[in-house]
Amino acid sequence: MNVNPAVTAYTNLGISDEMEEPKKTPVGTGLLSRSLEPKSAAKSSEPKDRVKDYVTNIRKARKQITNG
Amino acid sequence: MAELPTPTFDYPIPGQGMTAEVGSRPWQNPPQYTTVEQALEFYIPRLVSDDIYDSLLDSMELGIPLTTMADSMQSTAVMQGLHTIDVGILAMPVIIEMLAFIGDDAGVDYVLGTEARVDDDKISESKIAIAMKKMREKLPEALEEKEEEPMEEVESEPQPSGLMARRA
Repeated sequence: MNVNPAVTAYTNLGISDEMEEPKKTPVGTGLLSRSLEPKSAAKSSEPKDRVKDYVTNIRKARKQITNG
Repeated sequence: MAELPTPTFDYPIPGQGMTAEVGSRPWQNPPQYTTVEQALEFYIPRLVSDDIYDSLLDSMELGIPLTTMADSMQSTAVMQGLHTIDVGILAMPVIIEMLAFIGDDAGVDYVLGTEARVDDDKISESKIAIAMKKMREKLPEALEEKEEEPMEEVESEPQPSGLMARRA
């Protein structure tokens, strides 16, 4: 039985180990073509999401160490 | 006939000694750090400070899970009234990741603590490490004791072998 809340807090962040590749947006070639770039979604300022960002950043730095 | 003593109720209530007035404990007062960021600004410099850096690495070497270390850190801070429990829970994943970063940076093998336990009969690394440490501490004492009490060599007298030799 898991009694340590740290395990739950850490595993339930929902961070995937694989690095997400930036999505390529199709570029319109015509002068009057509509911009197909998705509108930047408003970044959530929920504490959980901020924590997720911090953990992701540290994990990236950590992987750089382990991968040389 | 002797009179029985009148019962008195002027005694402390059981457990009264363990209680305190509301607000007299640090965790019953407003916390020092109210946001996750403020709490992390408190934790991160401490984690990389020279004072506890070596102790952290020692604990990692002993096999203490990083989740356990992070939990004890935040529990202590809650007891000291530095932040609330919910801020501590939110800060824990960052602390764990930071501990893992420190471990990777120092090249120490650590246990994250999130791994599913497969075999209950298997003795954990931490228990083995603690037992080894105790053995190492006790070993010099045992050696000293041995040196103090040298084995007495029994000098064997040459036994007479001849037919006419005198018997003891």
